[in-house]
Amino acid sequence: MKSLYTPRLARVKSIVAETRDVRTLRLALEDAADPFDFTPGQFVELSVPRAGEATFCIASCPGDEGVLECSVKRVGAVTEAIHMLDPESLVGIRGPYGNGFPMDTLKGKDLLFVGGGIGLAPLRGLIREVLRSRDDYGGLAILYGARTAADRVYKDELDAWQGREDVRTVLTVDPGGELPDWKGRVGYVPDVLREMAPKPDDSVAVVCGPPIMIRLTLAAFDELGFDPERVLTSLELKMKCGVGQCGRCNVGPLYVCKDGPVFTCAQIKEFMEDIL
Amino acid sequence: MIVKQDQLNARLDDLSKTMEVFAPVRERGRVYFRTVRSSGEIAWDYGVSVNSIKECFLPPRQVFLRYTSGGFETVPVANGRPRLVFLARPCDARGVTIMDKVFLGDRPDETYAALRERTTIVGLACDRPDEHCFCTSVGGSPAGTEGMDAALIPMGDGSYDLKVLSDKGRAVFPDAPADDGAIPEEFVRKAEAAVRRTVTIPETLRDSFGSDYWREVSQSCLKCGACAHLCPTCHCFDIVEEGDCRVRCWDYCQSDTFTKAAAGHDHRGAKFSRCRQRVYHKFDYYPENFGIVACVGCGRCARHCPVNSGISDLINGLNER
Repeated sequence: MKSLYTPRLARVKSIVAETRDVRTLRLALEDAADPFDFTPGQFVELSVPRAGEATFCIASCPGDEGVLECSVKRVGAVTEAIHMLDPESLVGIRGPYGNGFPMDTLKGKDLLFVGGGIGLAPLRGLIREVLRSRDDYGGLAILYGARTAADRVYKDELDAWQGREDVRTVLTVDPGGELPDWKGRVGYVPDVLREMAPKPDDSVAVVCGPPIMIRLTLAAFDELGFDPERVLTSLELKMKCGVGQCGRCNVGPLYVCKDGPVFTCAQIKEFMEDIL
Repeated sequence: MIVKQDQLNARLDDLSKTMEVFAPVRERGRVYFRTVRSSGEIAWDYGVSVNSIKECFLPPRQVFLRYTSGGFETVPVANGRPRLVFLARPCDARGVTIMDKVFLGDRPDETYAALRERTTIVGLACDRPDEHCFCTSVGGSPAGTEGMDAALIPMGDGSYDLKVLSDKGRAVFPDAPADDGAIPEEFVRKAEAAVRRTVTIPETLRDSFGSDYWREVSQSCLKCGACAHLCPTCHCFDIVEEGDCRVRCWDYCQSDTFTKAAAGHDHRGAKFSRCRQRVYHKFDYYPENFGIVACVGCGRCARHCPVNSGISDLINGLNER
């Protein structure tokens, strides 16, 4: 009997060291015949035998041929074990789980992506997807903040986005996190967002980052007059089963793993103090 | 069909040759659901057992993966014998139907489904509620048959009225008539009147989410988890590594590790928010998703709470404010 909890096997094709504690793994499923269909914003459960299983968002987009990418920050036992892996290692993978970003809702809108730290990971898959069909969307802006310049993930991709004329990319680091050659902004994401003063008009904002950043950024969007239905966030609460049964990601009547991880600000407003 | 306890004991001894039987057993003055080998071990005169029958379907510890050189090997649910849960109280049998909605929904859990599939539940209508019982306040009844494949109604003279309720029940009691009428009204009336505790779930529970009440009533909680582990509907679990195995084991929302992420963030770090979560999950969130409250009124959470803080008192206390 094959269980819901039996992972498929995936091989690590390559590893990119993004920062001192973040690595991005490119993974290819061993049984490539059975495709792994996903939407940007969905997540997977990655396993290392004897270390355990943990939840990671998919940081790539569906068109990325035969591989998917996960960025892993070293914070505990499972992520430590993942950081020890070499190329060609096997990992277990379950999923994809969760709802992903509402691509149909986003079509035709001005999009503002706001990421903090490794919270850029789910946005990266979405941004790639959007840029692949650039003409389907209105204006695009990316605001990305990290604690220090060295803590930025996907540095090459950030450069590429900055180099595009059809995307406004603003990079910032927390005060004290800049290096002498830093050319971006210095300031916390919510403050920089207020300075950017985006117009609500026909915009949808997508926010992902550490809990404190999400909370303050959602508050900033509220001040800027954004409709809570038009502000999306991807929550990264602790999860185990991925299918709404183990109970730990339950918030209000919602399960982050099953009903999310992508929610509108309106959906979670009532339970904000229980989430962030 | 009226049957004598002796006849049922004989039938049970016969069934136990082919089935694994779980039944109430008295140990040092308390009654637990345990695996039994013969009818002589059964405590027919029990009230509410310490543990609930949920562990027949969601075992406290369950190995479901074993690591091999080639990767992961699924461990099948332990032995394929059919199973009989014998003399489950109506609250416990109803608890199983509440877990069914979680585990047999849009993404069925295969191990739960397999255990459920091969298990027959024979219930025992309740004629001995205690001061903690409140099943009639949460949609249940001491004469309820939800979740049962067959029901026994005690006649008070050592005999039982046997009602077969499903094909599984029929397989266990092939001689019982198909349509044997309803449970005697006199029994239902008496049994329901014997449940003296009442709990009124406020219609506006959601309005009390931000109330200081939760801080006050949670102060004494030891976070021991007795309430959740003994609860017939609490189903939260963890997935952990044990050597070469991956194991599913019970977990509970009062625990310090339940919602704590590896990086340290805990979105429900405060004790009051965990206490509130347990109440709201049962009386607000689960009802919003499935239309019924996730509490069967068995009273275990009060009966076994070391600081005397059962969920019925938490709800009633809120009403009294």
